[in-house]
Amino acid sequence: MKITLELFLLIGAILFCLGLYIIITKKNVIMVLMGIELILNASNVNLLAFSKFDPFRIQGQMFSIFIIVIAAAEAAVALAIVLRVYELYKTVDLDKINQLKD
Amino acid sequence: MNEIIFYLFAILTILSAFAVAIVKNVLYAAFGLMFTFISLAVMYLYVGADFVAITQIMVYVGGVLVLIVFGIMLTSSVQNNETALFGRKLLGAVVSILFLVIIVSGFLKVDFASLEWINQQLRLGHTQAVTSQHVGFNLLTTNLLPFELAAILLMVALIGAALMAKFKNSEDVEK
Repeated sequence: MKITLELFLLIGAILFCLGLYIIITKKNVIMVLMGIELILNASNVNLLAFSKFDPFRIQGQMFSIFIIVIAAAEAAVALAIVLRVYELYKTVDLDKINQLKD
Repeated sequence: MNEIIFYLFAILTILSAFAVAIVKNVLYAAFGLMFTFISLAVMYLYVGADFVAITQIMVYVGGVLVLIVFGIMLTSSVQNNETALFGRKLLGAVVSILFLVIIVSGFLKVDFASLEWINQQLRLGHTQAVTSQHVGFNLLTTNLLPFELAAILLMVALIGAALMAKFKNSEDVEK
């Protein structure tokens, strides 16, 4: 029972694959957004696991902080777009949203 | 003891992420995502990333998840439940398991301890429990330009989101 680097990489890989599965299978736009968040978190896990071996410059931690900032901005803009799309189409089903104009 | 807590939270991370993928109700999926984010924050503490762990809870649980729940509630309707087609589920499972196999077999082949910078750190052996001070120092010296750009990006994104999510008849009101 030791906390190794490979364990973190394994957890990151599983999170990435679950996020990929969600993006492929789900029809709701908001579910797809959740899948994207999972994938961004998987990348954060990997960066932080390697950042442990770089305790003074901690480049992995800096990178993951900027990833968190960009994920927050992306979520805000994406949800605003989802609200507009819902106003126009009265649905958030990705299979039914297939036109750029009404 | 430390390891047991870590393994518990690792299992919780995976299980709640599975719940997000499997559960039919979108709101339940959002709650599963909350557990994933919190247990990931606990795992970050084990690699000495205390600042990132707190940021994770504040930004993801306090910000992104609240936005997602608002989005779900503002767009909820009868077809809130997910009923994915079987063929698409199969495709998703095949593609993601394939990716998992490729990634895991990839990093199991690599001997990380033979990398120079990791090897050096393993020999020196001093890992830090607290890195907040270095985060602040690096943010304002080496990473000053990305830091300022991130501030501009956040402002632009917030203004854009607020403009886009305006009410439907706001143009009529202005007239």
